[in-house]
Amino acid sequence: MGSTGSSTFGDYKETGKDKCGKTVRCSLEEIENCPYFKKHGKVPKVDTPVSLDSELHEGRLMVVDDVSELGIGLLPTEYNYLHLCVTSQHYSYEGDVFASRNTPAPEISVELNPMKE
Amino acid sequence: MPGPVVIGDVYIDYHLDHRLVRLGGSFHACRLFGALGLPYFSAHTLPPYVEEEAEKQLQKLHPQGSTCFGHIENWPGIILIGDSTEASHQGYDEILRGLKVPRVDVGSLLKLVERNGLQDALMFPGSWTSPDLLNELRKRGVALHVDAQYLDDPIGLLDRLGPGAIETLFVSTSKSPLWKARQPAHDDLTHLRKSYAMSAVILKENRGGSQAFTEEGRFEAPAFPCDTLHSVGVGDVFDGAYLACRDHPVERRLRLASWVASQYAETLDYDVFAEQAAWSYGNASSVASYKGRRLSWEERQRLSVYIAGPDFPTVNTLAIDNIEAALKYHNFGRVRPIKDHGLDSPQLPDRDRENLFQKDVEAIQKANALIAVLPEHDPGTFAELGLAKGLGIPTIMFDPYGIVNNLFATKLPNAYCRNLPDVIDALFRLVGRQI
Repeated sequence: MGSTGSSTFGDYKETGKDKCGKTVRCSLEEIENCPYFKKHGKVPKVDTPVSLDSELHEGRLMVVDDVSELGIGLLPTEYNYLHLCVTSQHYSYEGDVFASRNTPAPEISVELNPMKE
Repeated sequence: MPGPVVIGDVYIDYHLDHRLVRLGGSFHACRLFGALGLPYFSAHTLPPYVEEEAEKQLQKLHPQGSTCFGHIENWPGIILIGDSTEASHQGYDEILRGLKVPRVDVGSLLKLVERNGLQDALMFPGSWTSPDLLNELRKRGVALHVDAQYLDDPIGLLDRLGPGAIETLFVSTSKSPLWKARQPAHDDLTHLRKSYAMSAVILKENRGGSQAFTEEGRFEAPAFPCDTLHSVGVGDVFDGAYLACRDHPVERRLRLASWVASQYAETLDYDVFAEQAAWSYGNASSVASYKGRRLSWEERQRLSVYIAGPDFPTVNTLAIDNIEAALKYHNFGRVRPIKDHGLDSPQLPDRDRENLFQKDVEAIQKANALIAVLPEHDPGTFAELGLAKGLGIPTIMFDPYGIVNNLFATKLPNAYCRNLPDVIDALFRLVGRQI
């Protein structure tokens, strides 16, 4: 409870801040330890369709290549909240790779868009 | 079994950076128990002018019972908060605290305890805290769980109470009176726990995670990076969540407390927090498996963060000063090369310039992270950034005035930040361990 402005107390309500309903754009982690890189020895190309795996992988959320169904990388831990979005609010997340390179070190950046059942 | 009684002062938190007012103090822990739907009681003091409003708001948090056991007179009870996110010193100012006159009736608190057979007290000490009161609670079979952050002299209180008086002591690096800089934190706190025969000492290390020193041993848990809106009362919520999860093993309790505390930090909307916290509590095994970032207080001191920037006499170095202050606040080892090694000038002999250059290069090579601060364009800073990145050292670009409009300069660093809280969050993310 609180209020914007300092004139009185009141109920503070967030508006327009549905974290689960926001698009996620981020760089993935642990790419070299994920199945896709281990199998192919390289990162997926730009525009590869991907989605968020709803299962936790040793406490982390994994992004999966939709074609091969292999994990391409892990979301940074600050996106752990998406697990709550998936399991309690029935969101799913789909998108694509918008940047990737193999050198000097493998990097993948993805955009994931929320979809509600 | 009845829930705990939350004992503390009710404050009015005024977030200057958000122009936001809400009830704080012991209310933070009450919000936690209310959100989880767990039984609890509230015993509080407050400035008399907010008593009616506080009662109204407390009822929305569904305590099983409550008592206002004192008024703090001559005191507005207002905490001015300069930096809600605690990227550096929060600039807390409890205005007119020197005029406080507590008029308390501990009888009403003790009656609440006796009437309801209360067995646990989560205490946020205030001016009414005394060994006599704590001993009266103990006589009635109440286990005391105390947040030391609110005590001016915690060791003095422990000495007067004697061993075995406090069951759990919560300590925070945000205010650290309890250990000396020359000793590692865990030696001090293990010794403290044993000396005063406490069941547990819990150390909260802000963005670095937490530790528990217990009879079963030492345990640690990560912090969970989040979209921090504020850090006011987050430690109090941690305390409450740790107590609420007592059926779980210690490490899981730390993890759950840390996770729920991060949810509190993301919002000032109680309903949003309540929904998320309740889900987390009901899915404890999933939540406890989440990975987070761990970087203890003592680990940070062993790191070296190189502050690159135009730290020249002719430049407004406020942004660099703020970075250094924030690093110091969070106990990071740091190098501020011009201040530490010297300022180059064309008048210096070549040999001296070469020595300066080598010192700076060595410092970068040994650094665990580099923060490039750009209050204005500076070729040297960009060169240092490139060197660090080429060496595989995590790099952060801090562009406080939005002047860096260059593809390489913004894409090359591991993190590009426009404000201080984001820089500190990025630093913990880049150099912390994942556990």
